[in-house]
Amino acid sequence: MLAVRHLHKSIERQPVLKDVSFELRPGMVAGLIGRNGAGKTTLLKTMAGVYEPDAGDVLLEGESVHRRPEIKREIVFLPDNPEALFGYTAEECARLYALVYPRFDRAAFDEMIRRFGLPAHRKIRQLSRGMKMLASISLGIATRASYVLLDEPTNGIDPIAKQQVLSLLVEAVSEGMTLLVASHAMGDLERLSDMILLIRQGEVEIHEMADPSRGEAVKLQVVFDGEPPAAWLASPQVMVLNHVGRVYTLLVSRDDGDAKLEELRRMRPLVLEELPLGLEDLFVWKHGGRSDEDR
Amino acid sequence: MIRIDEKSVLPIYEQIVHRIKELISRGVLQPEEKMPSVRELAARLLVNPNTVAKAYQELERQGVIVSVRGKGVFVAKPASSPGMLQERLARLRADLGRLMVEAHHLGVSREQVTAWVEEEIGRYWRDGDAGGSSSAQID
Repeated sequence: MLAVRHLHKSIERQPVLKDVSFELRPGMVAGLIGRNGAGKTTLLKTMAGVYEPDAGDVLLEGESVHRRPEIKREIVFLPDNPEALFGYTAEECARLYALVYPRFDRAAFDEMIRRFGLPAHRKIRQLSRGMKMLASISLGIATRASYVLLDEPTNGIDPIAKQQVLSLLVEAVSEGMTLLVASHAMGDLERLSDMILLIRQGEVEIHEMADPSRGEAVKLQVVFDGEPPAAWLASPQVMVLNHVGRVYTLLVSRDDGDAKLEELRRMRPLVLEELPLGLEDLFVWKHGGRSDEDR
Repeated sequence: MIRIDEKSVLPIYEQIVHRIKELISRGVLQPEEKMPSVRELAARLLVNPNTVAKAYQELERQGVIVSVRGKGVFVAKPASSPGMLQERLARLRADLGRLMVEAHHLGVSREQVTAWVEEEIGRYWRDGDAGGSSSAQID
């Protein structure tokens, strides 16, 4: 188990992580979501030991990543742009990684680059963005490290490369590896994740994929009988996701119990259906809706 | 054969359960046929293997599939799959509902619908027959 305990980290005197704690269970996939600049990359880098925390610790089976550097071999960080590899060919990278990571699986790496048609003898810098990402992730997975932390693995790559990246990640989980994937691609995370970590204002909230809203909100489709109730729709517990004609899609917070839902039921709407609450809904809800400044 | 619809309102695990049942009831997957392993299906669908494993557990709990240690996962024989029966009954009932909506929309009279249903009943059910060949009589 990889345990993050009371992690604090400031970058240029700005607090980015404030008392962050969570655990990654072996074999699971956790998705990390949050606005740009929320601290996703800082969290991944601090977990991998690239950054030193200001306070708190990251523990692998109870041993500190920051006090016992050799533990870092079990935690691989794959950045959104693998600049560190740019000066090397895939072949050179593989030899380098084999020196650092004791379980590096050269045969598996060779199979991956063959499958994706990655040129083994060209510098990573010269490859397309998708190919760069595939090279980086293939290396990361071939380490057979217990934990792989990925920053935006599917960002800015074409649909075919994206499918190839996803297939690498699914295989890694089948091999028993544990993944933490920071991404804005909510559809990818819905396919991949067992758990979602939502980072906001330096704090991390944990959401299980089976019930992302943790019962804190419901998503509803409503058609009102007659005029829509402006006052009810404007109440702070209600968020209008969209309305097309007379059909409203709403998120209703349950922080006051079911009071708002009861009010709605008493209006006897023509249609009142509960919809499953997806990751994008969770994201929009947690960030207070699509206000104009967010667009 | 199985596709994940990202726009579906159903969670992915339920989509897998539903689609496999659908393939079985359409005869695309035959009784005792071998199913893809969790690993294979996860790779094909590009979804978390843990999610596929959960869907398989649910299908096994419902008696739709059986796993044989060391051999793999197989479609259950019909006689041992009461879960499948419930599924098909529910779909049949929903289909009937849709037909009624369509009939109502087309302005077919209640008498006409009843006459059509009676006509079909007369074709397949005799007095005291609950339908099927081996099913018990229902009073």
